[in-house]
Amino acid sequence: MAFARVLLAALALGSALGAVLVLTTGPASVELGTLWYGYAAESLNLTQALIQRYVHPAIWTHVLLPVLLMPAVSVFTTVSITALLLRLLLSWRYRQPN
Amino acid sequence: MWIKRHRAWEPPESSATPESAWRARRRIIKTFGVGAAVLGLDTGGARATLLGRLLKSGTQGNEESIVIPDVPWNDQLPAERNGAYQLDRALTPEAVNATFNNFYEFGSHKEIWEEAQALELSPWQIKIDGMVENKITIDVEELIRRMPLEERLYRLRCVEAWSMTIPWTGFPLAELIKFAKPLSGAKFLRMEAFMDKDVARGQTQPWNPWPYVEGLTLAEATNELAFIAVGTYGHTALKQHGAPLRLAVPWKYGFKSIKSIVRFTFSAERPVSFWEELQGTEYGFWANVNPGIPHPRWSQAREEIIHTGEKVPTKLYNGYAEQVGHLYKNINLPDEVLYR
Repeated sequence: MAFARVLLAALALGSALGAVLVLTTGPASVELGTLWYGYAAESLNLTQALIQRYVHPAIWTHVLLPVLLMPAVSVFTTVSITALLLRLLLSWRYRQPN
Repeated sequence: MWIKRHRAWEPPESSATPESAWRARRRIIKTFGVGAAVLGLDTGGARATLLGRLLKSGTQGNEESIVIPDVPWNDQLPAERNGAYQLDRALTPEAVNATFNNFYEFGSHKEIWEEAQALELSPWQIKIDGMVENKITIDVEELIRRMPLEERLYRLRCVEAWSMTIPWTGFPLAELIKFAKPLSGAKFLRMEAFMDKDVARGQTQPWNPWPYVEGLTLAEATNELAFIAVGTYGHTALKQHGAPLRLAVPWKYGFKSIKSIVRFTFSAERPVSFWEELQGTEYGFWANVNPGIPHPRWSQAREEIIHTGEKVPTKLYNGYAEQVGHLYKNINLPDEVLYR
């Protein structure tokens, strides 16, 4: 359980930093996919190919693409807040007795 | 009368796994197994081999994928075969050819034939501009009726290390260039594909450098092999093949043969192609087939014939060295640029 707590905390922190990075370096409306393309176009292209060819085209089209078309700030903020809430929930649920 | 006696050691019918269930299991295992292997072994040709295996699993093709478009120029086909272009292997069955296609505007998977049916082929305007005497926008039907159609048998070598053999119907690109009358300063031909994200889902990804663009030097474009295809297998080209007009340059990797062209622009500057901009270290402007120059992630020494699964050695310029080898004799570029 400690590992999950650390992971969620890292995810919350990392996503928050991502949101701050986007807001300070470019337009807030930039899509997650455009941001990914800007930093590592090859990995984005490879990910699309692997998912469409070896998993299922619909997973890319109906699940991942809509997320990649969302503003990066919204995605990072949502992930950050969700991870933080889950982290707090875990702490409360598995708190140590005094 | 045949009577089946149930022996003690035999499992009852009721405990046997239904065929649909085990087939689904196998499909899932194959999908995830191949996916994981690709992720883990994406070097040294493993990807190409695995891709080949995956493609081989469906080499029967799907007859339903052969949907001949209803267009006004259907009466122009079939055309007489030009016997100068022969093959050293059997033609790829049409159902296979129609089922496995790369058409990036519709996605990066192979089974795009259904999605490609959304493409509207008529009216379809072709624009010829740039450094030419005859700047014109012409309906594709009129252009096709003006051109001398013929059938040619070409090999197609995909950069992913598989190959097909296809009977194209069309006209030499040199004829279109003659029609356009390029000015003396024109050195390159830039070709642009359609752009309609309401039709082609892949184009909804704004980060990719749409529209799809390809280019050739004028020396390449006027070579006898450079061909504009408007048909396959004796009829109008299928939508998934890049109807109504597509390029066929068989000595280059398949991605150079741009589909569903709407514009030809003549220029003095070398155009930047779609894949060159997207992933230039792997898919460059020249992209000439050379078995000695590997793709950064797999070998190009051999290719899998898609409908037989047979692995055969790849030839320099895909076997067309005699026709195009001279084009590159005096080009001073590293092999990794000229052949990738």
